Amino acid sequence: MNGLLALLAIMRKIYIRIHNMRLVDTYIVATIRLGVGPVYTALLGTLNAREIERDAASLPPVVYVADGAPTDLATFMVHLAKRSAAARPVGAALDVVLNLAAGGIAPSYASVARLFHSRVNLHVAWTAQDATHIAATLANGDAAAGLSAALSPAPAAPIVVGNDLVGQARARPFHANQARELLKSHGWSAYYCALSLPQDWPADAISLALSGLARELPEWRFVLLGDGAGIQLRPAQCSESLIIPGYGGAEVSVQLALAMECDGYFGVCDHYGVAAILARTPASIFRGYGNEAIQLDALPHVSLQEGPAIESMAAELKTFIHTVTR
Amino acid sequence: MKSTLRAEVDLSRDCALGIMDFGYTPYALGDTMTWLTNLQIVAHVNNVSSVEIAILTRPERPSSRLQRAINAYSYIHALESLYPAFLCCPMLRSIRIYERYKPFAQRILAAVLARSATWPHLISHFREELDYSSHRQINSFYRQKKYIPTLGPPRGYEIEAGRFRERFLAGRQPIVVNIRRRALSFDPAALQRDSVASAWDRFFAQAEDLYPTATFVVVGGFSEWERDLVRRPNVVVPRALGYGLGLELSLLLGGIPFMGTSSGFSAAATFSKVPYVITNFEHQSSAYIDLPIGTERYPFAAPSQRLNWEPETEDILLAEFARLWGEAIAPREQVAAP
Repeated sequence: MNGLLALLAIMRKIYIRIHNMRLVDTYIVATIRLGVGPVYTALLGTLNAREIERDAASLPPVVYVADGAPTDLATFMVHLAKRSAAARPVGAALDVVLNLAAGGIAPSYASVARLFHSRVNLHVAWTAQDATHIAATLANGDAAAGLSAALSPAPAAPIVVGNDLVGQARARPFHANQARELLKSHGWSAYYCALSLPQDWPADAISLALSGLARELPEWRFVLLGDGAGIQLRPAQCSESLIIPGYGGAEVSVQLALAMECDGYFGVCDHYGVAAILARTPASIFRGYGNEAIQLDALPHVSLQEGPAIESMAAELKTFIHTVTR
Repeated sequence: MKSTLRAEVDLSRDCALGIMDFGYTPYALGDTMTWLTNLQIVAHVNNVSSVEIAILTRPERPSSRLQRAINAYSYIHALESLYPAFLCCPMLRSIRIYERYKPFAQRILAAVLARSATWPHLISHFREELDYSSHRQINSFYRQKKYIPTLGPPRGYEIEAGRFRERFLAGRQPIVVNIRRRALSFDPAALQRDSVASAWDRFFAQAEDLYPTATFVVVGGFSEWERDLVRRPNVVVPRALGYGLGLELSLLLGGIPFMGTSSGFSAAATFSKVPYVITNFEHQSSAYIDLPIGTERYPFAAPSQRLNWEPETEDILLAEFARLWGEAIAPREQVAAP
């Protein structure tokens, strides 16, 4: 019996040694892959090119020229909502070609694009010429010519957000769940209002206004969205009622999901504002804080304010909260 | 040939293609930095002036067997956490992220037809064998050319980095620090490379008196820093202030000296011109990087770029920092003073 156990132990050691040397992987599996991989790639690559040629009309990529402005992500989001509203065949991915010649943070644009499809092929270039070349690989002759014109920087007319766009955006499950868990962990019975405020508003005045409101409306909590560059409040100014997810490690995707998951949104028409509007979150949107590229239609869940000042913020926010809870 | 495939072949002709299929390669900062350097070397060797990066990440095969914790649900988070790293390649012309295999296959097929230079080589890609961590090609290139192509700050983060410097580092001498604490993360791996946090904490306390103008910018995953650190007057933690990897790499590759564990950020420093000291250098990796244990610097390193192979202690950190300060920071401080 002992002899058999010893033999088994030796065989196990030999197996582990062989496994660690990855002999099977290196000489058998990899060789099979080398035989199959090129054929499979050639077949699917050719099939992809044929499908584009055949379905060019129904599968145009979305092309976008970033303008480098701080609110450009919001414009990008509306642009995507308009284009992704068109029906796509089941299983097709959303192709987005982005020209970042004027600047912009590519990962933030990627986070926005992923709200519009469960699979996004994102192609980023830093010149109009490179972006045009990429577009030509995604659409056939006629369609590619149209995309080429769209990829050159040109002044654009304001883009309208209407009822047809509401419901177009959806956070990926990972990000939506992170957002939901964050809200539940801060008090599952509370109401949450997402805020994205003008960057030139003084941090102390914001903190003072929100702490006053928190005393008046104890069942409400305020979620201040933005990254380190956008938020001026000190971490010590966070409280039970004032949550700053960026200070808790939440990245853009999770914060977009928060704007969509909260019970209300109050603030500027940036990417968080547009995400809230598209998710049908009751929203109070400030006009006149830099995003003239977006024009909001009359929407039942959105109220507009003409450039409110920090001094009137507490009163405006209180009125908004009353309309949400009514 | 179909028009899109022809366009793809044309696109492939004058650039090197970087292929990153996360189905068989790890989502890892250090490996990405080494991969980018290898890609730039391939471009230099083939006399092309730009590179294109094609990344494949998809729910059907979200990660390699090295990272089973990353699944169809969380792969997108892993990708987003790493994305800024790919922007550190100065030769980058475009970057394409695919969540569907078919268009990615079209891109690879075009590279085959155009006989593009690629990293990894197409045969390695089809065999799914990426040399993601060794310095074999880098050392060989350096032996021939006496230089290596370096990495730069990620594109798009210039304004954010400028504001951060203005707000938190004005009038200070910043040093980027990475204290590897993967044991505290959701995906603990290679824990033998983790740092001793208490040694660093004592070092920061001492440095406060010895180097009153120094500010340590502690970078790394949100789960990896200790709360005590944030309260120290000579420490800034960008992740605790709402910033991410893009800003951290922007500071590091923008020229701020680096000090820290052998990890992803140290790999970024390794392939840059930034003065650095890498601590707790892993003995096991000496074989991969073709350096005997105890070697003071990589063959391609500058004099102010050093390796230390011992686990961190307060004394080691103070000694290494004194050297870094004397060689790279103090001269700069003297120039800045009127």
